Amino acid sequence: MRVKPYTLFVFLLPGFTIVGVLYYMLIWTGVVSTTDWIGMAPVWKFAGFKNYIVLFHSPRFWTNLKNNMIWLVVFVVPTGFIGMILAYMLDGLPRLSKFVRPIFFYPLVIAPVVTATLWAWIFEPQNGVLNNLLSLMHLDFLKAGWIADPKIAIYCMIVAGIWQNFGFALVLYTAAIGEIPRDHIDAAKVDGATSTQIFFHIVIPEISHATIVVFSLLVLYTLKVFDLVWVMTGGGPGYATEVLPYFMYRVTFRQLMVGEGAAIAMIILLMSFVVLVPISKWMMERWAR
Amino acid sequence: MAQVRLEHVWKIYDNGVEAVKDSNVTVEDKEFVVLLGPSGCGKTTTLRMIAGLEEITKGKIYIDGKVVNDVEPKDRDIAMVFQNYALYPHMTVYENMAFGLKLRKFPKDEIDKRVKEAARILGIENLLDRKPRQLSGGQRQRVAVGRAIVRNPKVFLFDEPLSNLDAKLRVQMRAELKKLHHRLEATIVYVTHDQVEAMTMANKIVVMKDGRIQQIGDPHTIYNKPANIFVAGFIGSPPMNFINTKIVRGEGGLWVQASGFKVKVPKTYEDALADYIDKDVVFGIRPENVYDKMFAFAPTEENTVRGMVDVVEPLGSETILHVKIGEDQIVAKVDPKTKAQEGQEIDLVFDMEAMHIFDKDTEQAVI
Repeated sequence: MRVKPYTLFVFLLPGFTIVGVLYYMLIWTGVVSTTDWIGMAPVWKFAGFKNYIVLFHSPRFWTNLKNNMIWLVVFVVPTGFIGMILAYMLDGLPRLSKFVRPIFFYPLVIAPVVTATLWAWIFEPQNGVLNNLLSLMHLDFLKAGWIADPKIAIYCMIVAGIWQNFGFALVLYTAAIGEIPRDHIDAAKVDGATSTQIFFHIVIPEISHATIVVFSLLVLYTLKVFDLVWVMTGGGPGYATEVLPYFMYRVTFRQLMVGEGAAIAMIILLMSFVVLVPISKWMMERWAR
Repeated sequence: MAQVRLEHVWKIYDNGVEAVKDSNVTVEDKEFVVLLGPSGCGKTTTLRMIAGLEEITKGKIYIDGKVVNDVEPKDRDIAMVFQNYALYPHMTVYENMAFGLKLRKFPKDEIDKRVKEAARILGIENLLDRKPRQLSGGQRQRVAVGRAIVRNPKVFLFDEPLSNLDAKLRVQMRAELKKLHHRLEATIVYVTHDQVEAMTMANKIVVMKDGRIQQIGDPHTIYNKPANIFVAGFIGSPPMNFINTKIVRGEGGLWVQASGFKVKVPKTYEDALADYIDKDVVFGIRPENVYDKMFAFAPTEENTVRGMVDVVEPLGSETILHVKIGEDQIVAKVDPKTKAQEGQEIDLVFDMEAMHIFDKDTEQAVI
C-alpha cells in the first residue's frame, strides 16, 4: 500500500518534536556554556572557553572526574559479572531460579532514594547496621567510618550501586543465556568440556551481544549517577565523593553559575558520546542484518 | 571401537512420563544400528542416555563392557552429531573441529593433522576458515560429522542428522554416511524417523513406539517379517494394507474371508493358522505384493480379486492404485503400463506367499 507523504509526516511529528526539543536543549546548553549567565538575570556576556578553562584549573573538577572513573572501573565490571555468573548458575537450577530471580530483581524497582537511604543507614558510622553487626560478632577491628571516611565512602556508595543494578544485568543475561541453543551446550559436553570450560568457551562468546548492551548501559549509569551521592553523602566528606552530575547540579542550582554548570554538562555529554556512538552504530548494524 | 549394551533401561521424567520403557539393545562392534520410530517414541532419549546427556532412571548402559551410568559424557569416549548440527557460531570450521581435541590437550600438530585429514575425507578443506553462518546446510552437516570423526571415538551417535536437509542432499549424504561407516569401521547408533534412512543404512534396526522397543532385526527381517501391526505399517511406502478378515475352512484348505473377497491361504501357512479358524484376524499385504492381473505371473481364481478403481496415481516408475473391494480399500503398487482407469473394474492378484496375518487383539504377527 502506498502511503501519502503528509500522512507519514503526521505520524513522524511527535517523534520529531521530542528529538527536536532535545537537540534544541543540547545546543542551548552548548551556547550557555560559553557565557557567564547566572540564571536569574536576563543578561549575560559571551565568555568564550573561560568556563572550561576555570574547570580544568579546579582540583574539585579533577576529583569529580577521578570519582567518575572509580565508578566506571569498580562498579561496572563487578555488576556485569555478578549478573552474568548468577544468570549462568540459575540457568542450571530452574526451580530455584523461579523463586530467586524476583528477589534479585527487587532492588532495581526500588526507588534509588530508598536504596540510598537504606544503605546510608547500613553504612552509618555511629549506629549503622554494619558496625553494630561487626560488634555483635566481636569483629570490632573491622569497624570503620564507612560513608564518613573520605577514603572508603565512595566504595560504600558503589556497593549500594552494585546491589541496585546487578538484577538488571541478571535479567538481560538470563534472556541471552536462555537463547543459547541447548545442543551447543550438549555438544560441548560431549566434546569434553567441563562446566567452567563451557562457560568460558561457549556461553561467554554466545552472549557477547548482551555483554555489550549491559556494559554500555552500566557505563552510562556511572556517567549520570546522582541520587546515591545526593542522599548517602551529599558529595562529602568535603567533596571526596562528588561525581560530575552532582557537581553540575551544585554549580548550576546552588552556586547559580549556570554557564559553568553548562560546561560540566557538555563534558558529561562528550564522555557519553564516546560510549554511545560506537554502541549505537554496532546495534544498528546488528538489527539491519 | 566398541560394543554398546542397554540392559532393562528406563527413563521416567519427574512428571511421571515414561519416555523409555525396559529397553534391551546390543550394538555390536562396528555395527550401524538405527533407532527408528515416530516422534515421541523415545529414540532420541535413548540416544541421549547413551551419550550421558540424560540420566538413566533404571537399568544399565555398558560401553565397551563397562557400566557408564555415572560416567560424564566427556569421559564416555563418544561423539555425537546433532539434528541442528550444534556448531559453535563464534568459531571457524577449523576451530569447531579442533575444539574437542584442544580440550583433551592434544598437541597442536596432531590436532592440525587430524582436522585436515577429516576435512579431506569430507571434502570441506576449502571451508576451514569460514564461520558456520557462512555455510550451507549440507556444508554444516559435513562440519558436524567432521567434528565427530576427528576425535576417533569408540561410538558415534547421530540424532536425526539429515532431517534438515533437502531431499536431494539427503540422498547424497545418506550414501556418504554409509561409505564413511565402512571407511571408519565405526560403531554407530543413528536415530531417525525416516524408514528409508533406516532401511538403506542400518545393519540392524530397532523399531520403537511409545518408549517401548517393538522389534529388533536387520532391514530384511523388519520388512519381511514384521513382529506386529505397528512395525508392518511403519516400514514400507505406501504402507501395508490391513483388512479385517476371518480365517475359514473351505474348498481345498483355509481361506481368508474379507467383506468383498476371498483368497486361499498357501498350504505352508495352514499349520500356523490352526488356532485361528473361524476367528477374526487382520490380514496384511504390501502394495508391492498386489499385482494388476495383466502383469501377474501366476493368476489363479484362488488369489485373484475384483474391485473398483478409486484413484490412479502414476509415478512414472510405477503406478499406485486405490481400489475398493467390498467395504475395504486396497492400495496396490502396479506396473506403470497398467490400463486401470478410475471408476472401472480391475482384477488384482495377491502374492499370497507374502501375506501377513495378525492377531486382532494382541496385534502381534501370526504369520
